[in-house]
Amino acid sequence: MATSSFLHPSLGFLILAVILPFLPGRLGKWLSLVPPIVALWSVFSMAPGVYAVVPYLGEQVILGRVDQLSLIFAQVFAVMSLIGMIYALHLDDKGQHIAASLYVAGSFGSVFAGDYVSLFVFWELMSIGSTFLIFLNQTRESTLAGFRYFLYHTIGGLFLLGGLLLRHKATGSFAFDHIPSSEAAVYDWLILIGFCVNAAVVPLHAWLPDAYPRATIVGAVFMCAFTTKTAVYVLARGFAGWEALAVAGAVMAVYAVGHAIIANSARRVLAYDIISQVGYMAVGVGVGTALTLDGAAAHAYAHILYKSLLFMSIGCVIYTVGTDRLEKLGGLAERLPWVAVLFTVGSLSISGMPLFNGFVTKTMTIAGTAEAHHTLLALALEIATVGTFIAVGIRLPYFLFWRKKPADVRYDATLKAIPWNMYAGMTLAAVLCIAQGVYPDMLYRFLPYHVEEPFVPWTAWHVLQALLLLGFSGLAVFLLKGIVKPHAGVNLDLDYFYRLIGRAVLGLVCRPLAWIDDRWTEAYRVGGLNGLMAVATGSSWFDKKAIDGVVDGSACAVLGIGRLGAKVQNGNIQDYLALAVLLALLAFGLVWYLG
Amino acid sequence: MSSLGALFERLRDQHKVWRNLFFVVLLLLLALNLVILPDEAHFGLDRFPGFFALFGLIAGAVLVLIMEKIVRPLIARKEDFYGDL
Repeated sequence: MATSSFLHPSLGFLILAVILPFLPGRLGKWLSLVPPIVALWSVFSMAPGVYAVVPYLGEQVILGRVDQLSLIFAQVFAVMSLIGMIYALHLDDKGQHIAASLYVAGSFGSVFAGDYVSLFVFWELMSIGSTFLIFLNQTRESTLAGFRYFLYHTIGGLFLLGGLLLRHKATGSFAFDHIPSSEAAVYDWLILIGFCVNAAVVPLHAWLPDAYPRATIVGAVFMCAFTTKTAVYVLARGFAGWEALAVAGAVMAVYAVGHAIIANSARRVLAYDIISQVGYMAVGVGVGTALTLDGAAAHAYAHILYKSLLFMSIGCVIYTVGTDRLEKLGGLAERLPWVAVLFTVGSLSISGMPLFNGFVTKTMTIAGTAEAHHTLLALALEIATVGTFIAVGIRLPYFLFWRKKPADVRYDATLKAIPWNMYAGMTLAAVLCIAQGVYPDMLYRFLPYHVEEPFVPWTAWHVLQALLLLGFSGLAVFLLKGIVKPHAGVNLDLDYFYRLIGRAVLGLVCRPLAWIDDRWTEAYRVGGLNGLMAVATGSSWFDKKAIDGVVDGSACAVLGIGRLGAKVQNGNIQDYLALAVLLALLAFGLVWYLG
Repeated sequence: MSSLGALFERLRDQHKVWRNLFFVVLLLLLALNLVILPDEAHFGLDRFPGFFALFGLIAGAVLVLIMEKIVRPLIARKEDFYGDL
């Protein structure tokens, strides 16, 4: 067990999450930059190998499987955690730093996990951390969305758990390795479903556009990067070459981009576009050649950078103006010019414009898919490229920044100033987007698979093709500009159905419970209360005569415990959830220590 | 207003110039497509010049038309449809 050269990047984030509540605000904020920097150093100094193998409950738990595939995801996670923590530096709400730290720790843990047990633990840690990034927005809307998100991911996690336990029963091993699609058993499909929930594979996707637009400003920035991309990693690890995944990816890419074209909240447009972009990665993983797997990994890397940049820019708009609804915005290029510039970098990157990183990764995935003779899938991805450019490359920037401010839109005379650190985080992401676009080798050199003929994005034809595709889809929007307009309101998606299911379950559970509760209250009032009164009279006599003096001291203690109890039992299920996590971590640690 | 913001405002006021420039660039790209062609045609028709221009134009127009004219009327609801706000 050679742990000396392997410092697990999760460790710093876990320590930060534990000590942050006890640190004074200013110090805590600056300390939040330390784990990302340590993670960066750690990722760049790691050598491939298997580290941190820990015996746990009679199994070998592998916390550190380091190879080319886990390294490239860990690298971009480290970069992103630094960008995110810089962007969050001004926040006084420590809760968000703590939730983000737990969340990032879960992602790193999942990426380095070599077995299903540790993968599951870190997987759930991610789910909990991200749930709090939604709760902490502290509106009724976000609280409800947080519960839906948590329920949905818990169910996804249960699929994973069921799959991995059945798998262990059948094969006797928790090892997390590639599963050839020809040997797929039912438990493998269960695991795949669990992964697909997090990858937002249509039709399991509706949690994403439901939750992300309702998270905190910083929360959405973190969430857009980690959950789906960790899922892409585990899919690439376990399910490369599964045809079903490739088809699902093409469906995702087109279905979600359609929704992105008509969504009205800017963050919801971006959320749908995450699904669409993850669709490219799912196609790459599903096709499963070295070139498409490299393409999926490269696209995940680029996607994290430009998508976080987009979420950060919209975050700035929400921070200053207070909304991201397109019909309430416009003409912001004059008021927030640098945000407009940075957003444009992100939107051109996601569109696959030459000079930006989407160009060098998207073309790679599509070319690989076409070369593997999946012509229809490649065609679907080209359609999604057109849709992405319309939704995020034209529609969003036009309505937010470039159109003349509509008469009914009013901003305050002086907008709330955007803190320097938010600009710093965005600039870092933007510089990387452009650098990777101009020098693709700075990304390609880390790609995990060996390709016979390396993909060269910068050829005259690739550039011309991208420009033709984007230019003429721009022309289509120009010709149809009369019907491309923001409309106030929401658009239904499949979350409509899971809300229905939720209500039905709630009804089934609540009615009998309410009935029992009514009867119990009645019985208690009649029987229990009278008995208690009698006991109270007796004990009050005993109390006065005998132990008045003795008890005074312990009463104080009881009062103290009572206060703590009252504080804990405040009726907010969110807080119970946090407490449960704390207890679970404690129990986990104890079992580990004593076992 | 910052100087960059003022610059953006000036540029927007000249949007007709930008539009014309956009058309010129599109024509230029089409002309280039006559000489620059893919080494290997993946979709069959893409060995002909103008394929991706037409593809972008049609795919874009069809996407916008389907989503705005058919899908949106079916799935659009008022902001507080779910009663969450």
